[in-house]
Amino acid sequence: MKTLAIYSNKGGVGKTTTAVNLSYTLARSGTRTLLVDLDSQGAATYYFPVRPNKTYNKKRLLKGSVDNFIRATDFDNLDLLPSHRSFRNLDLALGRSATEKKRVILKKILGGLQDEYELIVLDCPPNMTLLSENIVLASDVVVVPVIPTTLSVLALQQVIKMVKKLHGPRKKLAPFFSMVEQKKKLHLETMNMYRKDSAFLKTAIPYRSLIERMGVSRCPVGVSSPQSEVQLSYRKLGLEALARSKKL
Amino acid sequence: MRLPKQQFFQLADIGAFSHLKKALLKQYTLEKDHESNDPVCFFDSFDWRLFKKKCFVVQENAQMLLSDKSGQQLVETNINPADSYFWWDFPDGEFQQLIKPVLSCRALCRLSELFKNQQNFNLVNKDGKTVVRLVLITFQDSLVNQDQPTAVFVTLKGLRGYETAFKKVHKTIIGQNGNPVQYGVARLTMALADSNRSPLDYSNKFSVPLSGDWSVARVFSVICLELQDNMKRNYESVIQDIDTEFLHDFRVAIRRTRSFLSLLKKALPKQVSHFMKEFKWLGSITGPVRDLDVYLLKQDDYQAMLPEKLQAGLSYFFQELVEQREIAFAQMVKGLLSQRFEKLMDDWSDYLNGFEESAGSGNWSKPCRPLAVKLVNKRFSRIVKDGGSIDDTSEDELLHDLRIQAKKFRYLLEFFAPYFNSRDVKRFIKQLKKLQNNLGDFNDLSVQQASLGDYYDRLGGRTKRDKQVAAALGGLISHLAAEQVNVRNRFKRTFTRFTEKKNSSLFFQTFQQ
Repeated sequence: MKTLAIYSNKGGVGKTTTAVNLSYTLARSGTRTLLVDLDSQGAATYYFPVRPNKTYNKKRLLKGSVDNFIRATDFDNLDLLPSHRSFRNLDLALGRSATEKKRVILKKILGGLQDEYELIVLDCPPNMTLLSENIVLASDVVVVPVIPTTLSVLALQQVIKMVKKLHGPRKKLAPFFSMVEQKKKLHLETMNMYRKDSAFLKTAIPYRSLIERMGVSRCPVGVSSPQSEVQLSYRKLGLEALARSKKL
Repeated sequence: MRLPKQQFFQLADIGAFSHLKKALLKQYTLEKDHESNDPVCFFDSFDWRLFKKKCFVVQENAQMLLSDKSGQQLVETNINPADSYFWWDFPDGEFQQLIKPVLSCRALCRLSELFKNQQNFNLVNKDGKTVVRLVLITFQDSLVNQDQPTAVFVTLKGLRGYETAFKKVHKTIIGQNGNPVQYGVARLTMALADSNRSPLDYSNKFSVPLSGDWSVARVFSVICLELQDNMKRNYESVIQDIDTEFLHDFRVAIRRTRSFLSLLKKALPKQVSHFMKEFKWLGSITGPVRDLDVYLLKQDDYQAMLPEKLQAGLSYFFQELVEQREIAFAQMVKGLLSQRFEKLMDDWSDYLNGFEESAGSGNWSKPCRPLAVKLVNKRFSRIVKDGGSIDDTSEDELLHDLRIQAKKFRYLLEFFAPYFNSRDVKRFIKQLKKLQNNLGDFNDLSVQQASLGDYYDRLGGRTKRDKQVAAALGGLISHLAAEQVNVRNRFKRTFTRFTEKKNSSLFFQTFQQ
């Protein structure tokens, strides 16, 4: 089982759309996939459209009893562990655990699912907390969406520092350019700067209204526009990220 | 909470599905998903080897699907459509590995073909989320009759986390008179409804019910007609050469007939000696192909008996056997398509059908059971006597004679089995089988050595190929000879076990007046 975290400490970079579309496209190719929505806003949960079980909350998640709360999506090979509003305090709850355990709680929870799934994709909230450390330690690869702008690159550097602090290998980080607009000079210049950085995944995701419309259609891009350029890019990105995880 | 295993239901007709739909629409929105129309072919071996193992194989387009009796698909593979397949025709993989031990040398034959229409529906809740998938499967005998399907099935596919919805829908189907069925069995039974086949309608084990008050004449004709029916059922596939076992079973039916006639020879009218002659002829024209089949089926075993260095020579030998078989097969088919064969079959059934009447009164009109008891006891005593006189110094010939006697005895027990306690008969036959296996192995080993020796003698020995074949045959013959000594050494012990008190008591207790 491989775990891909779609993570950035910056908001609005396309984490959830990447997590949803990557999970969908890899599940469609036959990989038994679980998407875990760790963001209390529950956008990934909303896209599918799954309503979590009423008894589900952060306590149940941290206890590791997630089996009964996983729900099938409408798509073969793709299940979802939904979000819950109580997840907004997940890092505080993690902080209450014993010091030696508190960074690896998520890793332990996900480890219990390895017989059922070949791939776990984590949709993560935009912050840099104890939860973020748990995410990094639980993942094989941390896929970081980066808009080719100064602030977004800055956010990536902060993530790099965090991974270093946690003694994670550099290659564990797999940034890629997200929401790319070819007509913007800054985007092209920024991308050019990182052209030779081998940590970057080669596939970039263009900025398209199709992605924004996911909120209306409540389904992955691959369902509404299976032949679109965006869907093909997500497919390539998914395969590239998975290949990276297998190399590590 | 876990989802229950996939369950199939049979509905009375397509109208029943409309009612079910109405009931479901009260709780969910029904979204029609994809629909497919495919021809479906049903397969099994002629003697139902898959059915006996509760397995079912169907072909949809180029996909071969193996499922269990409940309809749960176990494994699938791709193969181009054909009328029959051997296990080795399938690509390497799980499908091949699963059917290999079940089918062995038997072919998987097409039994029936229907058209399947499959409509998939999503049951959607008020959030717009699919909570259960419903599949409607209908079968019809032609694409034209889609409105009036032969059979209507529905099945549910549950989704994780939506077990409550699954249970609700399940209950609704039951409430709408959906009949839970074992889909694998129900589908096959439905597919065969209009054909001349039905599950387990053929077995190479002889079994014909006999009534206690039937006369000798009636039992004689019933058994012989059953054996003839067996020949007829295998006949076409023997000619088509579908697999080796059709000919094997065909020949067993001939042998059983000949054996039965010889057992009653003294009492039978002179006319029957003509049929005995004709069945002997039938045995002789089918023998060479079967003998070659036996060798060809042993190819892997023979290869395994030799060191790698000698195996190439054996391949040449087998290539030649394949060529010989082609010639022998053509010769056999000529005989089987001849007027002589047709006349034998027609005359024999005419004779048997009129036998009871023509036999008149006298011994033939007496109940058959006492005769059965007499014959069985006589045969047993003879085997005990003849076998008991064989020791380590006896001629091989005596063992061969005993083998023939044991075979006749076995046939006799099988013919008359319905007159006796079936459990005890089976127990006794099991013991007899052990003796037969020993005698059979001994015979096979000596026949094989003799014919391999003949072949060896005919080799020119000049070419490199001849030398390789000679080396392989030499290796094989010495291996077989050593094995034969072992088998012969085991005879005494096997025979003693067969005649020991426990088994004799079982015999006398089972086959008494």
